[in-house]
Amino acid sequence: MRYAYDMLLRLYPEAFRRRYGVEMSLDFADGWNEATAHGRTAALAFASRAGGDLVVSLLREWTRGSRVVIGATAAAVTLLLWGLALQPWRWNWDIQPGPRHPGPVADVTAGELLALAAAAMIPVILVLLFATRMVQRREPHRRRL
Amino acid sequence: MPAYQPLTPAVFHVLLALADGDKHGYAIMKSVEEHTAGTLKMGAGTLYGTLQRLTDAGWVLEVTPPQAVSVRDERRRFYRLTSDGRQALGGEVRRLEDLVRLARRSRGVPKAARH
Repeated sequence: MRYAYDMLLRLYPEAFRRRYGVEMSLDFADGWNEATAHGRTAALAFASRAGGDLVVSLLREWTRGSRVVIGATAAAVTLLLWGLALQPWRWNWDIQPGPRHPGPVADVTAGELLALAAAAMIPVILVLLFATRMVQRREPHRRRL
Repeated sequence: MPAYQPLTPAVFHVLLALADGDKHGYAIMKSVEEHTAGTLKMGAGTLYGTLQRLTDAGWVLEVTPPQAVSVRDERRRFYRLTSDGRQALGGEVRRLEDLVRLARRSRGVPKAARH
């Protein structure tokens, strides 16, 4: 189990791993030994907690570095979500200029377009909120001036 | 004494654990678990991420392990609260006290929670 955890530690940014990797591995080994001494349920609970912590802290460490990374991630996620949201319209509504393909033309009302624009803004807002929160977490101690 | 923004629960508990004396990471985790009666079990990723931020901010210092530690603990780093860290912890405790005092004066809060 510790071997698997050590492998997963490689996913952290190099600087973080060099600084804390050995201690994290030792702590995991101690925690695992303690949990297994209390039975299977305790071991399972420990493993699931360690897994959850790993995912959250990996995300945090990779987005901590710079605002450029956060901005790029936000842009990528937003583009992906917009792309997914627009897929049904791409199938039914020919938005390409030039000769139309034969087949039924979908009716798109102004209300539907408005709803689409509003819905597409939701992921943008969520990503911006997430990015702002990440930046704030980097400065937990900032003094009020 | 400067005013500080509210601390995150992880930062607060790590500072509180180190207020009792120098500790290594695993001892901090156990201390947090003990302080919160097992309701908060901090993972290694969260702990060391927090320690990194606190060290960079000058609130926590890495120190050499004491002489009496076991061979296993020799591989661990020990952490110490600096005077800035202690001040920040004190500021947060005062802020929380003010909030509790305010809440206890409110009639909307159940009586059982006011004492």
